[in-house]
Order: sequence, then C-alpha cells, then structure tokens
Amino acid sequence: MQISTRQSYDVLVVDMEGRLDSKSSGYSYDEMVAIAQGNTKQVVVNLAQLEFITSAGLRVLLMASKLLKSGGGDLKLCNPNPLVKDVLETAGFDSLIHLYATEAEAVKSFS
Amino acid sequence: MAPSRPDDSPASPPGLETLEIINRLSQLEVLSDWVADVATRLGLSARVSFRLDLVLAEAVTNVIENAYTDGIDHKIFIQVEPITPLLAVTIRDDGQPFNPLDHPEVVPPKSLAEARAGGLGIHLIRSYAQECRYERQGQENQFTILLNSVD
Repeated sequence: MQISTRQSYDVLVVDMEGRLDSKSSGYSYDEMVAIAQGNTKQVVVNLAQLEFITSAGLRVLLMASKLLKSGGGDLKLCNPNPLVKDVLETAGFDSLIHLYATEAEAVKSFS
Repeated sequence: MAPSRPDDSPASPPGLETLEIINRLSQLEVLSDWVADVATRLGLSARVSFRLDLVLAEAVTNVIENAYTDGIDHKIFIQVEPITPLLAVTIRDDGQPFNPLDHPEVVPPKSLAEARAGGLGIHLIRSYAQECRYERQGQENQFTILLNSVD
C-alpha cells in the first residue's frame, strides 16, 4: 500500500495505490490523520490505483472524512475501479462521501 | 464425465482448494496471494475473484481479531470448493465461540455524522454472499459462505 500527495490548485490530491485492508490500514490511518491535520482541508482521494478495499479500508476513509469535516474541510473520492466502486456503494459510502468519476471533476467541485 | 465420489471417500473432491494460515494479520498477504492462484486455477472472473478475496479477508480478519485471547499462534483452515454455480468458502478456527452472524444488520446511516465503522465487514459478506452459515463443531468455529462462482 502506498499513499502519496500532490497539490492541484487549492486541493490536496491523495493517491492510494495497492490494497487497503486490515494489514495496511494502520499505516493508512496514520497517513490520513496526518493529511487531515495538515494545512489543506480540501482533499481529493484518487482511487485509480487502489486494487482492493475491505471494511478496514472503508473505516480509514470514513475517519479521514469525519476529521476533515470537523475541521471545516471536506474529503471527496474519485476514479475508483468498478470493483472498488461496488464495495463503496455496497457499504453505502456513495451517499456519505462525494464520489466523482474523474479527478478533474472532484477538484472542480471545491471551486 | 466426472468420476463419481462416494460420500465417505477420503479423497478431496476435484477443484477443492485448501490453505492453512496462522492467526496474524501479516498472514493476510499469504491469503490474498493464495486467492489469486485459486482464481487462476478455477478460471474465476475478475469480479468473482475480487469478491472471494474480499469475503475471505473480512472473515479471516474477524477470526484473527476476535476469536483468540491467549496471545499464542493458532491455525486457521480455509477451504474453497466449487459447487457450480457456487463457491463454498469455509473458514475453521479453534478460537472461542464467535458467530459473525450475531452482529445485527447494518442500517445505512443517513449522514456522515451518524456513520459508524462497526459491522461493515459482515455487512459486505452478507451483501456478496448467496448464503452464510455458522456452526460450532466441538472446539471449532466453522463459518461457511456461499458465493456465486459466475458473474
């Protein structure tokens, strides 16, 4: 599991790559807490390279979203592969966290 | 024509896949590698392979995190048997009695503030499975998940 960040206008884009499961959720949790506590409160998580997600990974996204919201920011998701998207929808996350087909749409939604 | 097999035959049925791991989260990588190999051998689609990977990761994580309190290594036995058009997925462990189906159904939250992290794993298993069964057999938990083997 790899997590990296880059700036896109006023938005911090987080790229997640690999498998977000119980084995990687500790590292991912720490990374996302640090991101949520950073200066940029508008965050897009790009899931294009995320191959797999379990409930442990969903909890990381949920926690990061709540942290950002409580700090006056927001977290949006984009670009999941169809199988990851199906997990997000099955867990009901599509009604809790905004999900966009492309990064450009997700970034633009903050403007 | 497939050879017939008497019910009391000790031979493994054709296509039966088995794995034995230890109750440590680091073993999830062994599990996912094994699922990828099984998916190739059984000719599963990407979607079915993903769902098999997911339900096993959830069920085995549940066992590792909830079934033991003694801090020592235990074996967890995993089996996947194709019974067209299903895959019978079985997880056996010698932990304390633990029925994942006892967890109440997750009610979809209306807002982020209401959303709770608990119970998502069993919710995903229930959602993807055709059927789930739990039995306590002697000193073992046995959890069986029936998945569609085709898209």
